Amino acid sequence: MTSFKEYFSDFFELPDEVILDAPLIMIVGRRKMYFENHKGIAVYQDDLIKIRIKSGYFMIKGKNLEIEEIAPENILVSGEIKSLDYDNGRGQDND
Amino acid sequence: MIKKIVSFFRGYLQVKIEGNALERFISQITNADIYLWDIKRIAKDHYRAKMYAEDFNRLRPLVKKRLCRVKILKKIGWHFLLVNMRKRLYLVIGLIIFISIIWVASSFLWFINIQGIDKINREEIVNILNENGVRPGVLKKSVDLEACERLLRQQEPRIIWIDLGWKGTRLNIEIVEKKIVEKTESGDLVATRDGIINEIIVMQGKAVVKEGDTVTEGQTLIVGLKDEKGDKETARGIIKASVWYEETGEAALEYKEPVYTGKEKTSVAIRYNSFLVRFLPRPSYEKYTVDRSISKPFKWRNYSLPLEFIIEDYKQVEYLYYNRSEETAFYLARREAFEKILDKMDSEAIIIDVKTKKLELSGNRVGIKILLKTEENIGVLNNADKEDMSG
Repeated sequence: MTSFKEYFSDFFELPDEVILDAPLIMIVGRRKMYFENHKGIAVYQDDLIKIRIKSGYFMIKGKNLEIEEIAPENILVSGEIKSLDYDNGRGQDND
Repeated sequence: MIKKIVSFFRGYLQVKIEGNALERFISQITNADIYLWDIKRIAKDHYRAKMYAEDFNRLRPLVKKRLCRVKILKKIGWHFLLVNMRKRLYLVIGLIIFISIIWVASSFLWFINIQGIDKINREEIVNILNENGVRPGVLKKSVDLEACERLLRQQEPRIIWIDLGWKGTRLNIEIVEKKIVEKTESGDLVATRDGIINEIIVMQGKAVVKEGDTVTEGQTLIVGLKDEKGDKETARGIIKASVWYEETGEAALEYKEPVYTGKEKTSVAIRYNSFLVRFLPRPSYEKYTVDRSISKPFKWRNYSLPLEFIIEDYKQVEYLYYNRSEETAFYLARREAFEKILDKMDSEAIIIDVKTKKLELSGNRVGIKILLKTEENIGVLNNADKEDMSG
């Protein structure tokens, strides 16, 4: 089901990351990843970083992962990135 | 890099974070608008991170709520450097004393340097300065340079121009002396060259030769007369005479010119004192030009190791023989002869006549003889030195 907000942002062609608070991710090669609109870190390990987002989690798997920077809005992750994955976590988010 | 410099100026801390569920704790820190970077996971319950020093106090309420501990490992930033200096108090005191000694010492006059004096004694200048309170050891501020200049010019009449200036703790005095041309007590005009006199104009003294006379070098032309006091006056006058110059020049009809064959080789060697090691051998050219560059790699001020790198560029050369026309050869010979004459000739001489004569020479060479007639002033004071002549 598409929420009203999604419909709204699609209709007016507005950026999702602003209206829906969706994560905006930029990856440079496989060494650096710039992540916007996070809601905190859930797991921080050498081979897995789990970032809380509005609707669940975002997972980064790799080797020697490291959080280079963390600010209220963005995260900079470095290391050898192998895979990225979404996880809905505790079922459907109710927003 | 820029980020590091900025954070150095803001001052940052390396902290150790310990406790359970550190991920959550970090999220909380971030939500409190505290910026963290270089977060390193050492163990599940042990992180290391960096944060700005000004944020550290805001961390306290967060830590209290949870069973986490944050410990400062290292303080980095310029203001912490200042704090550390307190521990090395004596070093700082020593530094301040050292700087102040230099600062105080540099406000005194220590040396007087005088340039441009020849006839005036150094001591005379220094004495004048000393009498007026300018001596090594006085404060630089107490020296009025303009007043000193005026004073020195008044008290030492031989100074025509003076300039005083500071160069650190040294007082530089630049002086230009008056050149006092002493009057030549007696003087006769003598001939500088052999010649036949065309014209004599006597301004002072008495001519002892007349127009048409042949004179030889060194012969007296005008003598100075005695004036009322019995002193001999300096003879003055212009003696115009015809002077002849004779020179020969030669040129070969055949000449050789070096031509590069295009073969070249570089030789590299290192020399230590008289010990020479060649890395690339010399070429075996019969005729060559060599362009040698020597560099001393270890050099500091006047000291250098006797180690030299030598790079030599050898270029093979062949000589090609050409023939030039007789006309050209004569032209070259003539030019050579003229150059020889012009070297000897007075710059104010007027050339009146040029006579050339071809010489018979053996062996593919041509020669030329030039006879040049000039009119010039041959009178010069017999006891005058060069300086007075020009002045």
